[in-house]
Amino acid sequence: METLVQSLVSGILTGSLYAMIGVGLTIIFGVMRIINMAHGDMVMLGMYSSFWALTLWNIDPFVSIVFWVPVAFLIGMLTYRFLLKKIVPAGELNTLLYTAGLSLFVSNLALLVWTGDYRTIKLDYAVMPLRPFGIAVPIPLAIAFGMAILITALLYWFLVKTDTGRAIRATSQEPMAAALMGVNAAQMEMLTFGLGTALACGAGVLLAPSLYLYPTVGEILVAKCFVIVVLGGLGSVQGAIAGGLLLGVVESLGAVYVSVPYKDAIGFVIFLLVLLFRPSGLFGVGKS
Amino acid sequence: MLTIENLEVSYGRAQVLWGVSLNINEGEIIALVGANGAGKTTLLKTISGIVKQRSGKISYDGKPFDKLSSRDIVKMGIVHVPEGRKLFPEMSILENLMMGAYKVPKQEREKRLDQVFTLFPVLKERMKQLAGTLSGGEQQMVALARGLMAGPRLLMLDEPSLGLAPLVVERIFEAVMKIHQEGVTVLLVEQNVHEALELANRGYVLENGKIVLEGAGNELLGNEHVRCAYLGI
Repeated sequence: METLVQSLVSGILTGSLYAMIGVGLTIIFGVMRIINMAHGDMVMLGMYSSFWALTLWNIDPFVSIVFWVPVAFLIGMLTYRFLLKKIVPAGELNTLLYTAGLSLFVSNLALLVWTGDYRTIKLDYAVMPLRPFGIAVPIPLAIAFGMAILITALLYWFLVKTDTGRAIRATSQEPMAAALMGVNAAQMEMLTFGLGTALACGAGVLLAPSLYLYPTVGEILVAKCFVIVVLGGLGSVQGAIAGGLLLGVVESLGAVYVSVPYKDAIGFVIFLLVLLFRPSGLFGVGKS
Repeated sequence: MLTIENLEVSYGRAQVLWGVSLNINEGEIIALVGANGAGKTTLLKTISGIVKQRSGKISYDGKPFDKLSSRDIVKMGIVHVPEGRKLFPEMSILENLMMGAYKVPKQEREKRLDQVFTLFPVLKERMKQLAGTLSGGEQQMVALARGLMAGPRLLMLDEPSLGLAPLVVERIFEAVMKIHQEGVTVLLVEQNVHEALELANRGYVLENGKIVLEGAGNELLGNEHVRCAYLGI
């Protein structure tokens, strides 16, 4: 019983970060139909940003996130403006290939400048886990969990309660009608790409103390990300949150009850099963 | 109010509108009728700035607006309710209406909302319901209401009766009349030629991208060509 609770707890902790990355991917897809293959590399850049801020300037990851997220937001908007804007109208296949190329470029650039060495972040306060009710909770992961929930909730609030957020959702649901209401679609797309990038990068900053860093870490993350958003139904924010938590829990249970090396594989098995029985995702409505 | 002169529009190499001219006076209901593919929707899209013309002139209150974006055009009070409703399906009725008032200052929105709910009381009762779960007739009401939220002086309706039962169509046309009585000029695109021409002060017939006939609504209803081609009598 204790093992079960333990693995559920660690699953939910990791899952909250998966959810944050997944929400970023899903809003980008929803608004501009880009399947962003470079999304995992944004997480990777976030992890390295976190690492370098600590190593060079001695700034704790949970502090440096305060400036890395706005920086990533700007970089995302610039990426859209100068690299993606022209190619979005060409369709999903073109942007898929294009962002795949972008992903190769970014991860290889990282390999070139930061080498392929595995790195870790060591925090003084991370040596001993907290033990509430006898369940081990790693401190950095717990803080990351809290911040991921806060950031995701803020984004959700923004999308639901503000005019601009509503315009973003409108553009994703019915772009022509949104344009007729006076929404500037290009502006919404740029904003959304900025937000998606900021979420990916922010999750990377938060994850850095809990994972190994290496330049191609984005590959496995982007694959997981696709599992998450497809589980939840492509384009759905609530779906991505649920999908992220679910994947975290499944992986964690798999690691305990099956075997650690199969942890990632189990996530993908669940993915295939869901696709087989619910092709539009667990929460997807399906387009008629 | 709105004057269009020699408008030519093409999608790539396919030319859709060939020298279309028409003019709408304040307070009129104008019907624009024609078969599928005649270019009616393209004409509306060009007026609302979604599609750019190749040549020709559109002016509003005497001022040309060739260079304006669809955002400016909405702000000036030209509102386009698109064919097939195009509601935001995963938003509530209220949110759809609020999107209609996207370019309207916040303090005016409540007032607009009251006006719209007076016209369509049923929407008030169900304002929390998701638009995607409504019936066709209710969706068309929301689409009209969403258009009204923008505060139109000229309301362009693209096939508001499409796919609706005759009784519902009647209710929609009644609503259009009410909106018109409140001082809104209406440009009505319809395949429901008979009803549209009965309702309208004047009408235009668009065929293969050209205006082939224009005249008073009842005059067109009596026209041999219209009777034969569109009314089947």
